[in-house]
Amino acid sequence: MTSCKICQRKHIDGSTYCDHHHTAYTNLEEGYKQWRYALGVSWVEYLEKITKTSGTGRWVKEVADDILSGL
Amino acid sequence: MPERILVITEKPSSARRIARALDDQGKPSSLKNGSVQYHVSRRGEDELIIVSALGHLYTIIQKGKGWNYPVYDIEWAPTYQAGKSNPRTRAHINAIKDLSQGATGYVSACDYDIEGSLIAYTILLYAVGDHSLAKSRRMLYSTLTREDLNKSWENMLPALDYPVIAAGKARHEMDWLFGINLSRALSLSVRKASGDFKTLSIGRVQGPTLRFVKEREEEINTFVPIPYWKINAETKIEDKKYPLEYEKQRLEREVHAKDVATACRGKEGTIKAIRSETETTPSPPPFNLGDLQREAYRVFKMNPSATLASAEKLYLSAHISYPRTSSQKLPSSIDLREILRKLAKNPSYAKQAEVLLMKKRLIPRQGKKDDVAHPAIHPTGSRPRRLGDNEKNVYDLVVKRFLACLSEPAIHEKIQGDIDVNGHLFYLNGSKTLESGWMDSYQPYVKDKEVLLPELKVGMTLPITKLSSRRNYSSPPPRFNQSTLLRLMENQNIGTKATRTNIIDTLYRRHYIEGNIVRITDLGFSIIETLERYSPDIISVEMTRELEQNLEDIQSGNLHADTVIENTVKTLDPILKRFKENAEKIGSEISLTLKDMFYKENYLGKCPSCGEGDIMIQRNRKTGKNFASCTNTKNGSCNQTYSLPQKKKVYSTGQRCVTCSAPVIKMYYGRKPWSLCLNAACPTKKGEHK
Ligand SMILES: [Zn+2]
Ligand SMILES: [Zn+2]
Ligand SMILES: [Zn+2]
Repeated sequence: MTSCKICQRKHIDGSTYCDHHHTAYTNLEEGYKQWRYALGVSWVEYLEKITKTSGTGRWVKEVADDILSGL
Repeated sequence: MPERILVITEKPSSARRIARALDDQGKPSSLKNGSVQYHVSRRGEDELIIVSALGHLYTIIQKGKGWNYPVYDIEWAPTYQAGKSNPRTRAHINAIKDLSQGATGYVSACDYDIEGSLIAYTILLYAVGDHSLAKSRRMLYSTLTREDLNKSWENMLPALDYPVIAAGKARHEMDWLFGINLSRALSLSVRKASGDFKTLSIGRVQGPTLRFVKEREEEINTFVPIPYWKINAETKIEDKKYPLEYEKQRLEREVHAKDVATACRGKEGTIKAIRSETETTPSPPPFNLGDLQREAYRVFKMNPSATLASAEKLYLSAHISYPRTSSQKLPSSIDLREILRKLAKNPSYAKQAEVLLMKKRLIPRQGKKDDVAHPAIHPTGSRPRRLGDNEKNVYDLVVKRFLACLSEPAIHEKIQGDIDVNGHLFYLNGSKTLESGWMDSYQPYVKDKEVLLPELKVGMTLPITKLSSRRNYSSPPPRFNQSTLLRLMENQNIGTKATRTNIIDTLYRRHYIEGNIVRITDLGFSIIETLERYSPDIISVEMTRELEQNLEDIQSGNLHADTVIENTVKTLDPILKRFKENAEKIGSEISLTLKDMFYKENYLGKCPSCGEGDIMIQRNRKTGKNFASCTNTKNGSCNQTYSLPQKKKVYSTGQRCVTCSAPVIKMYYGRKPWSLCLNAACPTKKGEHK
């Protein structure tokens, strides 16, 4: 398997995601630090909330959904 | 000795105007050579033969044959030989050849810019012959008014403006070399990988521009919004409500926002301090092209290309000065008072013009940007009649901006009160207009936001009548619109004021971008992504900017045009070699996207008969008629076909008919969509429409 867990693109070294979804994942992790500070939410609460927030990027939503479905 | 001078203009309408202005009586005779109109003006003893081009009559073609790459061997030829332009250009070339017989001198009177200089030069060189160049002069003007044209005639350059011509010629050659080679490289790589032929292209400036759009799309797609809180508060003084601003614009934690709310809700505030200061807003500088396009987008939502087209028309009818300028300055050579006197005859501008005419000295606000050839865009004063809506808007904007730049600054008194509410600081803000200045001239395009406060005193208590905290989220960077994309190109110094608008249009035409809020298409995305991988130089801003600098250096005389073209080939050659090595990979990546697009465009829904195949739009190769059929008809396992309307394009709705399960399709009547079941024999259709 060489394609990304989410889309048809090639996954990048050391990740199950492609470059797009990997960047989205990195931003998602970074964003959690600020969300936890702001609201004291857990990782899962955060992922659920972020998929419903309007400015969230398309690829970020896909990654959040992917993580949630694997829990 | 009386002279017979051949004057070449850029367009037929400017030929008429120039002929009338230069004729002693203002009555030139208009004659025809074949189908081409020309004018004869008498000026003293001299006879002026004024004939127009139709934009460029000569262009670059490939020397020799073959649709391959790389190709570096090029020559200039009549545009009709390149097979892409107006067939009337042949008639114009012939007429100019004819009319040049017996001429004792030649004048280039095309628009004063790179393209204009080049248009006249190629005509003189190729149609009239190189003997004409030594006897050629150049007229320079910024408006097509009688006064300006006469002044320009008397102060002509004694020779053609060769550095400008050289820069223009090199720009065309450079763009041709990039455009043709890259287009062929892209198209041939797709053919190599898939056998399909599709013309794809990407120009020298289009590449980096499209890349900006792609990068923006990626930023938006990977954006994570961060929550923050805002405190909204309100007070009431003498029964009027005033908003209060909390000392911190945003709070990063919900608990902090709750703390503020709990501490301040329903409490009273005390005025601790009052500050006031006068704020001066200088009048805006006059427009250059970019400023005009941005402002027309802001106030009329006009796209930059529409603004440019309107401005061109206004220029050709001598209502405004030449619009393709970078300058934000009005030099002292322009008779501002005379323009105002003319504007004062137009009731729409009379009042403001009169006010300005009473001033002893007229000093326009000057911007920073300059242009060697032209002043900022300004009205000539000539009063337009019967303008189209767009031109009317652009004209009004130009005139009012001109009036504004001659007006005084606006002066406001800003008042701020510090309000302490249970240990938290809030601000009460007011603004009073002391002098409206230029804002009067620039109505309705500027709003003066006055907030008048009652008299405030330190120690006064104010009730907090409303207090709430609201959660907001940081937002992703906005998608470009045509106006912001244009500004980015300007800031990045790619393209020129004359070419940028056109480059954006080309990206639309090629379906690389779409929408007024610019989105990159799958095809655009795929092309940039593939080039990033295999040919990053093509889309690099640095290379584009460097070439742009080279062209400027030709114009300023610091670089020889031949050197620049040699450099272009030197830059291009390794890029194309690398492209060729990777042609198959490049081609297969792009053709995957093309197949995908083709599928999306032609897919109507799942097949109701076999349940497996897809219903796709097809075209009968013999009759050319459109129909739809199941993909399984190819292997014989299904025979589902449908007839389709021939004149309307149909689209998938993603839905199935509830009665017969056939795909529901939609068509557009104007902007109105209309959905219907694809199955002509569907029971839902009985009696519904015939
Ligand atoms: Zn992916
Ligand atoms: Zn079928
Ligand atoms: Zn049906």
